[in-house]
Amino acid sequence: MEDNNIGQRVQHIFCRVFKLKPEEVNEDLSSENLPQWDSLRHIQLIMAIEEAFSIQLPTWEIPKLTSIRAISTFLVKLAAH
Amino acid sequence: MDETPVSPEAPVDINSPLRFALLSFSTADLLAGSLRQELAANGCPSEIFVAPYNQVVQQAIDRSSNLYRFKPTIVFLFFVGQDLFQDLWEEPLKPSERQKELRVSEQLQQLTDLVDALNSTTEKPRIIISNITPPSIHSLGPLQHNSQYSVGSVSNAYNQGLYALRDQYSSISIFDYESLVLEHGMATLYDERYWYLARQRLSARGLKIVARAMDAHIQACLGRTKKCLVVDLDDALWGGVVGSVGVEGIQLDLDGPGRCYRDFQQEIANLRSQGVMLAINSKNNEADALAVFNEHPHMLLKLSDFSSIRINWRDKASNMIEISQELRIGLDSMVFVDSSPAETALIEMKLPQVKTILLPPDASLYRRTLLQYGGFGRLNLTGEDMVRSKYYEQENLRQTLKSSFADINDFLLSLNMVAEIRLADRMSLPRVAQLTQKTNQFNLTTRRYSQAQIEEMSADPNWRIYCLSLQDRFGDNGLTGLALINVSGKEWRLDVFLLSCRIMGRGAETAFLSFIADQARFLGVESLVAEFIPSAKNMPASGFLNSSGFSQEGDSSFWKFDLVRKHVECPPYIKIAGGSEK
Repeated sequence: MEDNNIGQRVQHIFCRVFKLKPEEVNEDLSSENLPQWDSLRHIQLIMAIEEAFSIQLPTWEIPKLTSIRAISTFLVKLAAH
Repeated sequence: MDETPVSPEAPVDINSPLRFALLSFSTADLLAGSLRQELAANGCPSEIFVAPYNQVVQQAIDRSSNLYRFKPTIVFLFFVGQDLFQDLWEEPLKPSERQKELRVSEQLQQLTDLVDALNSTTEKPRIIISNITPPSIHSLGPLQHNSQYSVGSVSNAYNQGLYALRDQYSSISIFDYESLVLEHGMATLYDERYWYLARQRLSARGLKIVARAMDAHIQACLGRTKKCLVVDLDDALWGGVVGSVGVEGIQLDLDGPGRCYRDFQQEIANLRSQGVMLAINSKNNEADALAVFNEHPHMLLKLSDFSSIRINWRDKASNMIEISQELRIGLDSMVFVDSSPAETALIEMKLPQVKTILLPPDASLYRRTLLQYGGFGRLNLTGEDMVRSKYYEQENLRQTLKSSFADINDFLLSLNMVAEIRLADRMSLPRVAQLTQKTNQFNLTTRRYSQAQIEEMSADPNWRIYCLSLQDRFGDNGLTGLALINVSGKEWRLDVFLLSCRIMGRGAETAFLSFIADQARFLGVESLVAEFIPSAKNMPASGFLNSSGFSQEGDSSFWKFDLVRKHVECPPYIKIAGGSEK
């Protein structure tokens, strides 16, 4: 329930930043398989996540969060602490 | 050197999207996105070109580059200190004075080359250049101001060179980045993580702050400065609701917490000095609100500072529309300030073109909230701007109050009118002649005289020229009434008797006539003679002689007034301050 909620929110934010429809987004999307996911979009996504969840992501984590699954997993772990 | 001057504030066609180029030595794509949003929200669609950060100089110098093919109307050189002098900031002990001077000249020369290149095109874009700041923290610490080592000297020298460049090229305006850093701080504006990850300097918040400030600067560049500030009264100009607590109960003071309202009023007054029109939109009994202006000892703003006033119980959106019509300005040039979230939400919903500013719950932040809004920003201020037409404002004020008085006499009384009547002196003769030439409506004879003729008359003892100036509580209307009287015979003949349309409908003509009648009677004159010569425009004056007690001579245009048997009563709501007898 908590986890699903986080996962859904991340996908919702993703749609907004990348201007995609909810049907086009799933957990497998990553910077490897989505061409428009470049470093700049990545910053935009991180900014949106930070604002939505009121958090600050450490610098060394940000380059690792290159798929929706990775982002959701990280946030769920963070919420558990 | 610049050949043909381009005003930094000349209007640009905004029906097509604004073509805006952003040049920066760090990643600026996200800034461009934020700026596009801010511009769009301000009714200004845009297309933004961002030069790659490692090709800025090449794109600007090469006239065949993508930058020039984009044909920008405005080019923004967003260069910050960290971009230009990174090596000096990072190792501040290393360079000698000479080396620092050389670096500054180098950068200024490069800047000049860029500006020259941009200016050499036929399109000649407006150029906006940011000033820089020294780093806020650096390894020098207290050495900065207490030794020969300095990073501040570099940014100072660069800025001085930049301002000198602006003086040479009329197409340049300076974007005050320094003020943003002072207000918000580097810690808020920057985010080191994004720098290391993507070579972007600004934080998420920094993007918003800079984009908003850039948008305000661009609006000023385009001459789209807001024209009117519309304010609420309760919990805006003063603390509390005057209808509940009375004039004595509101918070407004020179000291203590009540001072914040006075400071807020001062900033509003400052805007007015820059040519911004002020208006009031308040839900109140008019008498309660006006009492504060008239009675409270610490009010800074006066009623006469406001060009339009709506104090009533109607909805504020309707009031806004009336204000915009009265002042003949678009809703999109108005800014609405209120402390009520409900009222600002109403305006946002019904009149989305109006910019709303919600005052925070803590009144000590009022002044800052108003100052942080950049929509009134200008690049230039003329004498004309600073002295908004006083007559225009005062007249609007009078009309507004008039419509809210049930009895016209109450209204006239409330104006506190004083009619100053004097014989014309040398200085007023040109205005006297002008009045005879231009006045059409309340003009009994419509006789036109040149200045030479008036000068002759004024030197001739057979003539008296009486001038009337009407003042009321909103101001002085100036010389607005005139009587040219031939006094050579046993009767005084009113050759010219007129009133400027500015003061019609207030009984001033009767006050004037009563003064003249008293003067004549005092000198032993037995009757006044006047004429009514009808014209296409002077119907408003047609009944005056009759209703004042003159008798028509048969069918002629001549009318006579018996000074021995009759009096002209001055209306009770006008005081006469008379000039003395010659």
